Amino acid sequence: MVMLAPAIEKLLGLNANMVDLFNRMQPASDTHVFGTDELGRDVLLRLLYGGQVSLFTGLTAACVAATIGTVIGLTAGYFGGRLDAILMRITDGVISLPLLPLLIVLAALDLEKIGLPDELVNSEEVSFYRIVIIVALVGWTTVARLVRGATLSIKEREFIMAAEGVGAGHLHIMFNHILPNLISTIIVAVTLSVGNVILLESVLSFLGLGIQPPMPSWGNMLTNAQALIWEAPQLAFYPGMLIFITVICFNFLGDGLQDALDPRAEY
Amino acid sequence: MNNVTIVDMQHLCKTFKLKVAGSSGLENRELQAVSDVTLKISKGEILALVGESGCGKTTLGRMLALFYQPTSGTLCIDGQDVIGLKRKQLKPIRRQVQMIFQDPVASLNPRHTVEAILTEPMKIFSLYDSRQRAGKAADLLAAVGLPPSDLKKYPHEFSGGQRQRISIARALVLNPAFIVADEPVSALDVSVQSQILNLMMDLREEFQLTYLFISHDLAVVHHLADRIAVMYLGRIIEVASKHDLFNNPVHPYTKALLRSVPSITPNKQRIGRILQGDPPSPLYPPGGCAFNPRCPHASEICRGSLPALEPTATDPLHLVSCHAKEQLV
Amino acid sequence: MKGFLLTRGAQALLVILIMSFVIYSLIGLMPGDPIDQMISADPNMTSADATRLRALYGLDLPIHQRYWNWLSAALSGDLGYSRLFAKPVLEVLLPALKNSVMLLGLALFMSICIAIPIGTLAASKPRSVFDYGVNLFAFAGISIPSFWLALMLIILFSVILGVLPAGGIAQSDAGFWESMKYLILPAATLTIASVGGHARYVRAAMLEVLRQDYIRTARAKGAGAMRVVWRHALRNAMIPVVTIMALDFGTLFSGALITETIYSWPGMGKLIFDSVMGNDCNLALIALLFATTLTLVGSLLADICYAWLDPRITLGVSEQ
Repeated sequence: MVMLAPAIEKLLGLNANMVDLFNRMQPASDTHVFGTDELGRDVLLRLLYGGQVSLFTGLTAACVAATIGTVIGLTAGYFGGRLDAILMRITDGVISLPLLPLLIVLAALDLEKIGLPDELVNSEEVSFYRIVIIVALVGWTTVARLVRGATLSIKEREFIMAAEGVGAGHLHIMFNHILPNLISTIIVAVTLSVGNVILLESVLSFLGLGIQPPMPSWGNMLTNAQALIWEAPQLAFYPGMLIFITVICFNFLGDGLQDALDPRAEY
Repeated sequence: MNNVTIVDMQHLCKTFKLKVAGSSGLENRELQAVSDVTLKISKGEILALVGESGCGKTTLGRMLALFYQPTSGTLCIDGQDVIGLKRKQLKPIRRQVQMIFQDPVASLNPRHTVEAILTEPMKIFSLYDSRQRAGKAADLLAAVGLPPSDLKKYPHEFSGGQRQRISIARALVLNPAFIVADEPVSALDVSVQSQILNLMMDLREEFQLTYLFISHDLAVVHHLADRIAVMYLGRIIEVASKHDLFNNPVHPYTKALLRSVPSITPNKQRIGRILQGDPPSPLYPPGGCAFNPRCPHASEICRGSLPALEPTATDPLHLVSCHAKEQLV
Repeated sequence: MKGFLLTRGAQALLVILIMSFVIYSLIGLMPGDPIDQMISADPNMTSADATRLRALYGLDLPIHQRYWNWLSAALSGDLGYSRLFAKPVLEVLLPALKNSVMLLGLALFMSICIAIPIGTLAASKPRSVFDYGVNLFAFAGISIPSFWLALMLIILFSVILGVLPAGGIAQSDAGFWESMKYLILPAATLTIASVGGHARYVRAAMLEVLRQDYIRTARAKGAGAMRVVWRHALRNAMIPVVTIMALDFGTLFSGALITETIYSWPGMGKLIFDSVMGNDCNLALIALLFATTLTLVGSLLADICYAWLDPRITLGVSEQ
């Protein structure tokens, strides 16, 4: 549905960024199925484009987070001992931090002070990269824990010893033997975290710290809606509803996958 | 059988450090899994290592297959001292020693095809190019009695016996001289067991292999061993040729083990008692001879000192570790 | 037990120290430093003045030295001055803390009061319609964007029905019911968002307990189904539940950033948000650090509760 945004745009003969100040905050009609917003833009189209941005951000950040989490969890689980203890302490530490306040600080950083080049800082996509990085920085912990648990059980299986017996090195065993057996765990973890990531993205965008207008995202559409809550309460309804439905779907999917892939569940 | 030694163990020991729940919380204890094992394996022979579960035979086997570093003692494989070698230094020696595992389900990576499993060792050692590797894999599969079409299949598509054939083929990829087989047939149906044992015998001829065959099943051992070592609580207590051990066992434990084998001639009279009780925990081994608490012949000296593994008076190749061995021959 | 407390306490302290440095550095990277703000306020300042001022406030020193100066001042009780509120930081912090504890305490209390009965009921009839209902409700609670929920509640109760205020806090001289009015919507938002998760947790803990042998024994003795659940199992199921509550206890003090901001509830969460957004470095630094510390203390408490309630757990260190 969300992928079809450009097609629907053509179909309706409308443009997502087309401003029509004469038709502001219209209720639903034949031309504007979900009505128009404060600048007279079509809400349906903005929802679809916002969905593209939100889903793409969510999936990208979840994948980056999963990669970090997998590497850390795999290393901790495979090598064990002191390295494991240190890595897991760090993970526990990150988990026990008050994340949202820290995310706000990270989102408010002045990128020029870190020394990034001006073109990047002023480019349109910077808010996208920034949010992917921020979310990935805190989102890897769940994956790391799940992957570590699974690695601990897989590395005791005899085929790992068999691989060692034919002279395989640590990296070879980790990536050729353990990783393929972790795929189902990782898929479950990613699915479960996509929901969380979309929530985080929408929160940050809602607070004006995530995806920046004019690029629409479900989160920043709600920012505008909040300001207009007395004039056009319906504007606040759709983006949140879509976030809610999307997130609950990912959570159900993840939960179902977890049960399906491992009947005994719970690592 | 020539007399070139391929594996030479001298006073080999392996201890594991464990945390055990004791009277005052967790205690650090040492588990002596293998104690003072001195044994040689000659090129081309099949040495069987028998004992009850938990006696340390798997630990010994894994030390010989270079998975565990011995805690003390010396171990030479094909004339090369392997004590204290790092993982990288061990790599070339691994071409000489391979292992066949007990569990044909767990020992094959479920996500790899048979071809991937069989070509992996060649890749690791950078042997041949990719087409030669596939050909070699097919040859090996044929040698263990599987069609080349099986190369593309995954382990779960095979029966237990077929998986064990794949496991054996993998052990042969690097053309090793010595193979440690850790209970290779105990997880299989009895009808399949003899097929695998016969295959292993055939392969010994074809590839000039030496086996260390670990088993708790004397019937299986009787089928293929040249020489048998009996292990009890981490120590070798008797070593003899198969013929000698089955016909003139000396150690009371060996005798008890042989008596416990179900006989197909039921009217054959059973002499003496079957063993009483369980083996003691290796965490708290008894003083003196480890077998003394269960031994019908135990005397004061057995509780006080450890008997050495020495030849019997009649046969220099028949070694027994028992204070009362001369009376028991 | 003592050894465990010491090691965990030391670890927490280390994390707090590290975090204080990280937060200090991050705050330094936020847009606009105090001198820039002075320059923009006073057009007569020259760049030479600025340099002199930087030296005066020690802002030209390398970061670790500045951190050290700040840390030693903070430890001796000088937490600095809030630019936004023009008051010492502590005077701003304490009322916010009080408001947050009030709001989150109420929400946590309501959430527990609802979650324990429905979680237990769901566990006593697994795979019933009620159980599925609870599960669905739990997923909804986890998945709902709390700011959107807040908006919807405002729309419903303030815009459409007009019965409750859309935000803010009562005057200090207002009566009890008047003050409660302001508390209802934010507390309801937080409760709805957390009760499902808590119920799911109670249900899981309960199912685990009901599987144990002594429950079967109780059943075999002829105890009725309800009696088994409520008298025998619930007490044991409380062990993990108390743990999760203790974990939440830590978040009590860091406030609910989103909810507080939307409802303009002057708690810790809103304070952190405002201070970060308003470049109030001193306030942001202390508020963040305070939230971090209390969250860590909360998770430490959770561990201790767990060990204390369950005699079978030996905390990784042998007990002498």
